[in-house]
Amino acid sequence: MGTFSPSPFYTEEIQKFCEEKIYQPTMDAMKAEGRDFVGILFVGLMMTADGPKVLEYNARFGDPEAQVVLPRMKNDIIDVIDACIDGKLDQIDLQFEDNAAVCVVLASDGYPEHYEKGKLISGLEKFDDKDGYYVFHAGTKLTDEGIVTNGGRVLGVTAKGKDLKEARKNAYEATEWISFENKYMRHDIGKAIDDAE
Amino acid sequence: MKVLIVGSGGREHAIAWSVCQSKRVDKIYCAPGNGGIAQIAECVNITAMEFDKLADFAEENEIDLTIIGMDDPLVGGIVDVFEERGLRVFGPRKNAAIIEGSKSFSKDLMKKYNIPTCHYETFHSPEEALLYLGGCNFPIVLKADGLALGKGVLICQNLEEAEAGIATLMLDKQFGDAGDTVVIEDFMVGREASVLCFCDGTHIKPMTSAQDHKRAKDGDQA
Repeated sequence: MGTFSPSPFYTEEIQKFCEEKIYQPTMDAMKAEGRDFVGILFVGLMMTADGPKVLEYNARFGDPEAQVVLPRMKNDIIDVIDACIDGKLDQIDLQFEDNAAVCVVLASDGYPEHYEKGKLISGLEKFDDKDGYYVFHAGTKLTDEGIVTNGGRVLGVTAKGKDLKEARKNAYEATEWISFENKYMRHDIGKAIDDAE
Repeated sequence: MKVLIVGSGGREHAIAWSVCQSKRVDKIYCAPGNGGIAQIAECVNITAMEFDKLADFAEENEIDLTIIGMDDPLVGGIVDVFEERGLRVFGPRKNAAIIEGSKSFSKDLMKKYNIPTCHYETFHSPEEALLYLGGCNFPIVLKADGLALGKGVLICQNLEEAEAGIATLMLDKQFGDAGDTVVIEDFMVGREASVLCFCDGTHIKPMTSAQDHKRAKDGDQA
């Protein structure tokens, strides 16, 4: 129902451990098995008292993680994807902005159990001319009356900021620009940001 | 160049936005897409599991690159279908997407290659699973082996919940074949982080980290 990037608990030390003990060994293991992995590997980590451990792997971008990670990427995504397909990823200098992003999911009230669809959404145009604010559609449909809700998770409202706190403030402000009848959201996305202090 | 994106969620909208920023891209298609994606891409009325129709579309419209956003078509082998037809596509082949498609495969891989993860056991019958659960410390984590719309992971606080979970996955088959095999894992305590990585088969480059709040309600309830 929301996500933020970067994780304040994923330190450089943890990153180094994961690169040496998890990421590259996973690539090597798949190659050794004759299953060369080309694409996006999503590594779900649990940072335990005994160090980082793998919770799960996914074989594609996370949703909504993609909604906070991609807006912070500096590279042209096509250059990076080409390098992946051609086996030349080592020639890419992958870079991310030195800032933060928070995404708050706007859902239909009642999700995930029972909810109504087909509610007219207003305010989407307010994102058009604003840098660092994004509204990604999850469950919407274009009709003659306009864009209406078409699922439990309706929109992902993402905002960037110089740090996580500013990004969170911006994202929650931007959620107010959007209206639909049964709009629902969590109010504690990024609570962990405060725990990190 | 012309790019086709396969999928219809917020993830695919974010991918489409990112592709839209590229100076190298003239035209974006998305199948099936959604109301927001339609503002930056031409939506095509083909669903993600119609591999041959998607490949036909890519051929007929001279698509230079197809990006697969979703797990189901990847695990189902869409990349193999595109590659067999000489179409350029981004995503793991079926034999690599199994790292997501089978929890027991990924756990066995980690064990074999000493990649840090928690202790687990794999079961193919409810009787064996229930016998094992009788000697477990709780909470434990119960996972359907296959894809289950992101709902195949159950955290069980006690034996009753675990028995109910086994019934849901293995007997009632709420997630179909995905529950024919289950993985029972130790419950890990700590902070979660998600790290997405670009991979070329040999090299791997992690992106910036993220942390997800999966649950619907404040305080991670429901």
